[in-house]
Amino acid sequence: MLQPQSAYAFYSPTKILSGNKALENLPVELDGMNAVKPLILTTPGLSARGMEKVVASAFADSNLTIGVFAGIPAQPDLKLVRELYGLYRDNGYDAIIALGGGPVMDTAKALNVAVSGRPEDLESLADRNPLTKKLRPLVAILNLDLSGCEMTRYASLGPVSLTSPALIPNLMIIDSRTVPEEERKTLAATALMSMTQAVEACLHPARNPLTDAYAYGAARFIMENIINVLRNPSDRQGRLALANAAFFAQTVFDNLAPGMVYESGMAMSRSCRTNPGLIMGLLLPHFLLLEMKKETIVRNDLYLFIGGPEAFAGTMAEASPRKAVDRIVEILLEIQVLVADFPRSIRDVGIKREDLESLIPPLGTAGVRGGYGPQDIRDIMEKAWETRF
Amino acid sequence: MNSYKEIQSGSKPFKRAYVALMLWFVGRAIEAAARVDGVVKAEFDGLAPGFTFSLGVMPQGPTMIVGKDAQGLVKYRGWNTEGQKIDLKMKVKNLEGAILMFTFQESTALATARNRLIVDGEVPAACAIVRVLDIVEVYLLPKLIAKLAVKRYPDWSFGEKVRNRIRIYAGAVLGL
Repeated sequence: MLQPQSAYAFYSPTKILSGNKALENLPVELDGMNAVKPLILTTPGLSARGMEKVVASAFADSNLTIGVFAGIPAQPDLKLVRELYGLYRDNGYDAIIALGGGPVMDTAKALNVAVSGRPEDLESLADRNPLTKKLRPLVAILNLDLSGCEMTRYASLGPVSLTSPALIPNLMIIDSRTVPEEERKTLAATALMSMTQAVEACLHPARNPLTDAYAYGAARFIMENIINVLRNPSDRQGRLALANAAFFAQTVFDNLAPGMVYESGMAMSRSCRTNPGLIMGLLLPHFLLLEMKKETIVRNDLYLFIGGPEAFAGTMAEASPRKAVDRIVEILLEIQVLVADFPRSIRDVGIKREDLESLIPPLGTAGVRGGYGPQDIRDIMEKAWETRF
Repeated sequence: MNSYKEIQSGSKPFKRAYVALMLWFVGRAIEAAARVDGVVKAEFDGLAPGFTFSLGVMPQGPTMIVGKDAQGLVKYRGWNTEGQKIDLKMKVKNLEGAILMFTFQESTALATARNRLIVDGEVPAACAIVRVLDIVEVYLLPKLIAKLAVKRYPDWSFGEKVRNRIRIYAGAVLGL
């Protein structure tokens, strides 16, 4: 029976516009946020693919002037933010449109802190001091090459980490024209990152009815679309579904602390410079098997999230957790067939067995809690290293 | 900062002209339909005396204005909202949304459900106008296209439909 817990909180301040011609709502939405001169930030790669022109065309008939900075590098730093601060102020911009994920969104969040107050506010926020000023409008137009933190309170610029709920974008637009086809490996990594965030959220001790709803949406969108999109990357509806899933998953991730698979995947990714989504996908089945072994899967409807209502309804309750793990492994195997150089094991991404020990997130890290200790994480990492799917 | 540039928003003159033409035509057709069709007349009779509504495209139009005069007759009042007291403003959020509506890829009801319209005024009046627009579209369009444009295609007798259609076209095109 669905019952509200005694107390819970859920925060998602972002307005979502998704679907056909969603982009054309930008002028009206900016007007509603009292913004008349937006600055678009994007990467040279997305600019070369004509994405900024697609966004600029949405402003037709609006009589607005739009700034475009198409030079966000893969590793942005504070120096770039300071340069963009001058550009923003000198040209009278009053809103930021982040076109693209990862470094674009990290830069946009940091720039928004600087332009909404003083540039020193960035250092203050990095020192864990709370923001005291309301930030200016920030619009996210994401593709499917994501870091997993775009729609969350987190941003990082090299060694500087920023955390504040105020960093979350006010508006997110998901339009098939700005969710272009990506390399299959990138698509798979983004989907597996979202899947990890969703699965860890639905097993999280602090989950609540709203995180469940978002996690369910993310998991279903991914499971129903990932294989079709990998077979046919021109599948617009499928790409839109995966972009929606990323938003759902990131929103639950933002509301709950990061899980063990996420933390371990990020640590391994930093060490071998591989997309963390690929590593999380390889760790996820082992994490679920450990949950089964420790009998910490306290919900018997995990398979509803992963297999869908029909498959769930046709499965005996006691077999349900195992079916959930099997279905994730099946999807991994299908992805490996469709993505030529998809790793089959953690060792395939260049991690040595002797390095695993140093990659175990320290005790006290958000994902390392409850009934888990370093030995559990060590076991998962070793199994993911040994097992080749 | 070589990667920086400023661009002016462009325009879509052909799409604008198409939507302006459609709004002009539909506005005049509503005026004619209120004389010819009993249901449309009843919908307007249910609205307050002097009731005026506009249907336009944000941010800069085009717009059509239709309202009841002192005698309760429904009149198309052109496109200029200056100096007009408008009780109900229905605005399509952008030109592309209007194109979807006026190329009948989306019905008015579907466009509303997809968050393409902003309504400033009383909701019952807006619902009445959406019903009027549906009826007018059935008269103006061949059945094959009208079925895409309206929520439910009405079950009218062939003779009545053709008779009213001729009178509404004559009113909209020739002002008869």
